[in-house]
Amino acid sequence: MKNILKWGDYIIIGIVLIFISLSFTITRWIQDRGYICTISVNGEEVYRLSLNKDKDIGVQGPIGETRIKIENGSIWITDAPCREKICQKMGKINHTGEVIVCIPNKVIIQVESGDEQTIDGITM
Amino acid sequence: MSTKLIQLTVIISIGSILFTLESFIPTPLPWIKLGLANVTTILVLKWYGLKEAFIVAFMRIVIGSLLTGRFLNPVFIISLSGNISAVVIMYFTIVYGEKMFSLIGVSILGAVFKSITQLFIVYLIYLRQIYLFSMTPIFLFSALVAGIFVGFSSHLILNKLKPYFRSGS
Repeated sequence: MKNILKWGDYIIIGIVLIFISLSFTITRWIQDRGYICTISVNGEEVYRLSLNKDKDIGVQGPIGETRIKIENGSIWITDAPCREKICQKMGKINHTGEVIVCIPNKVIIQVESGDEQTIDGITM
Repeated sequence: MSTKLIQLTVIISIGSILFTLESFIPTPLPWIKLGLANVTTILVLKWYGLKEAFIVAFMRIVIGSLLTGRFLNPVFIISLSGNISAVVIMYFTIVYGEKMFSLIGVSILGAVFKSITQLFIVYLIYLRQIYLFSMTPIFLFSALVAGIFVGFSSHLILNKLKPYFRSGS
């Protein structure tokens, strides 16, 4: 096998491998992108929003108001009444299945895929 | 002339048989296949030229799809478009890149261009959804594996049959 390969082959294999990893990361990014987020306080769903619309909202929890911001398809907590501020440090989320939890204020933010533009299956 | 005709006919029939047999081999995903029939395309490109390779690829797809019962349906058109682009790119790599690429590189390039063309054809004609391109990494990876396999086998076959064929005859 080794004496068959010429130097151009290694280049081609390398380029194809680069393209595979590149397209893999890009498609993962597109594919897992969530479109809907749900915000629940104390176990009850209070908001169900699209991530495509920028928004700045506040929800009232047991110990105060949590400020939540949606921008450019991401959602994050800008201000929280809790002491540790862990929820603020969790940063921006935008992928399906990602969650921000604020335990003291009992706020849970979840990103869901929404049912936009998904293919069930292709038959050929 | 008649020898060439007979040789091309035999190659077309071998290609059709490979094309048909291959549709019975189970694959992890329905759109992926090994592309063993591409061995014939590569060999014809090597022995004859662009025109003959087009004829062989076209006839192989027509006969193969008649045998498997999908003549002129979407798969036929997708397969044809992919093969045309593969033949063109492999021709140019064989003619202009003989010092650079062995047959393995040639067939990897052919397989990759074939998958990409097929993906674009499916997108343009059948399914205008950007989600289709999330299959690109799978297609590219299978093209790489299949390309290496097909290139290696065509290299072996070419060496075995060297006494019987003169290049460019």
